[in-house]
Amino acid sequence: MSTVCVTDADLVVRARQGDPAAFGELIDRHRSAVYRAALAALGSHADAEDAAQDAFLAAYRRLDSFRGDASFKTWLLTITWHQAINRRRSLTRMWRRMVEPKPAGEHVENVGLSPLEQVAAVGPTPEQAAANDQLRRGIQHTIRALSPKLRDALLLAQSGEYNYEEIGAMLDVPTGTIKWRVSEARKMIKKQLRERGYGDVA
Amino acid sequence: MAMWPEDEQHDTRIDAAIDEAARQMTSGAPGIDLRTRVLARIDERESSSRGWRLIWIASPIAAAALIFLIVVAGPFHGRDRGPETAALPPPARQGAEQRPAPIPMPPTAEKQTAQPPTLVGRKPDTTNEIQGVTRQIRNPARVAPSGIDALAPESLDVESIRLAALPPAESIRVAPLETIEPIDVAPLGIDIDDSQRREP
Repeated sequence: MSTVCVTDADLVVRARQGDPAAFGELIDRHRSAVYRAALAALGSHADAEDAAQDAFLAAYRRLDSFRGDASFKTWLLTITWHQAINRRRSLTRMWRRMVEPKPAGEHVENVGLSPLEQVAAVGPTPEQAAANDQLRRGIQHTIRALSPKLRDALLLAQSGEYNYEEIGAMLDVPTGTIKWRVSEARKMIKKQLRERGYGDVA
Repeated sequence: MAMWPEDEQHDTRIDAAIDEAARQMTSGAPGIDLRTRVLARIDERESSSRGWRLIWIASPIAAAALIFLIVVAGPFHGRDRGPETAALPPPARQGAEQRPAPIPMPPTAEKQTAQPPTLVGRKPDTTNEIQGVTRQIRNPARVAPSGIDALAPESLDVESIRLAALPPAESIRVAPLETIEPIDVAPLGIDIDDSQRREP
């Protein structure tokens, strides 16, 4: 049965009645949003995968409690965020953080453009490309050093997956507070970059 | 001159760099089999909860059955063993075909009776099943030989450990003491000689 034109609410009703395919369809629709929210909280792809699984399982167990006041996506993201934060606080993860060499974001060498593509696309010299790459690493290091409240708001806002209302629901704060935190995070990052001498950006 | 626009441009570039760096920190996608894994865990959880429900229902029934077996089968478990054969006095052991000697009674009731032996300390059971088993114990020849019986060790001829009666003890009554003659003491007030007074 095609589920393309079926709303999330209809799928929830079917899933409550025991239709596993309906819940599977919900997983497919929101897997990216759930995963990226977990990644913003945890900074590790492996942890984000586990947290995403746990989030979907928790959502399945609590399907009966979904009343439809907010969208299913918002409700699911709230559960995801709680699962991710619990995992972040766990002691085992703190131990793993001491052992693992690099968190997510440091491995983005393959995500960005290759040096040749950078020269062709942007036009700067290889030296400038290297400088930009160094700037990016510096910014990411500074973002990680932010307080969790500022860092979470910034990462969620810049991921492109969520609007401010959804982020406010996940973090359980008003939308205005989210905007303030994002702005505050940028200020602190710029200040840190200036102190470290990251002046020029091509 | 161009400070503001340059500052603005610089700021804009920094903001863009910050946004790009933050976006890359949350870029990625979950594994293709996320749906399969989640549904498999849901299925596993539901089947395990079904299993636990069965255990919760079945375990009290199993416990009751075990208690019942212990209560019913327990009395029959040790009837063929030790004390009956080991405690039999040697002269009473005639052979397997004859009746075994009755179970030794307490010293105050030693005489053998024609009544069937009963276990000391137990009331005779009136159920047919128990009577049938006692008949079998009294008449081992009628019991079909079993593998367990074949493995049973031969009973030993041991001397009776019954204690002989103690000889009557001597009386511990105390003999009366010899009577002592009373000593007459003269009343006070009589004069005594000086020589008697000086003596220690």
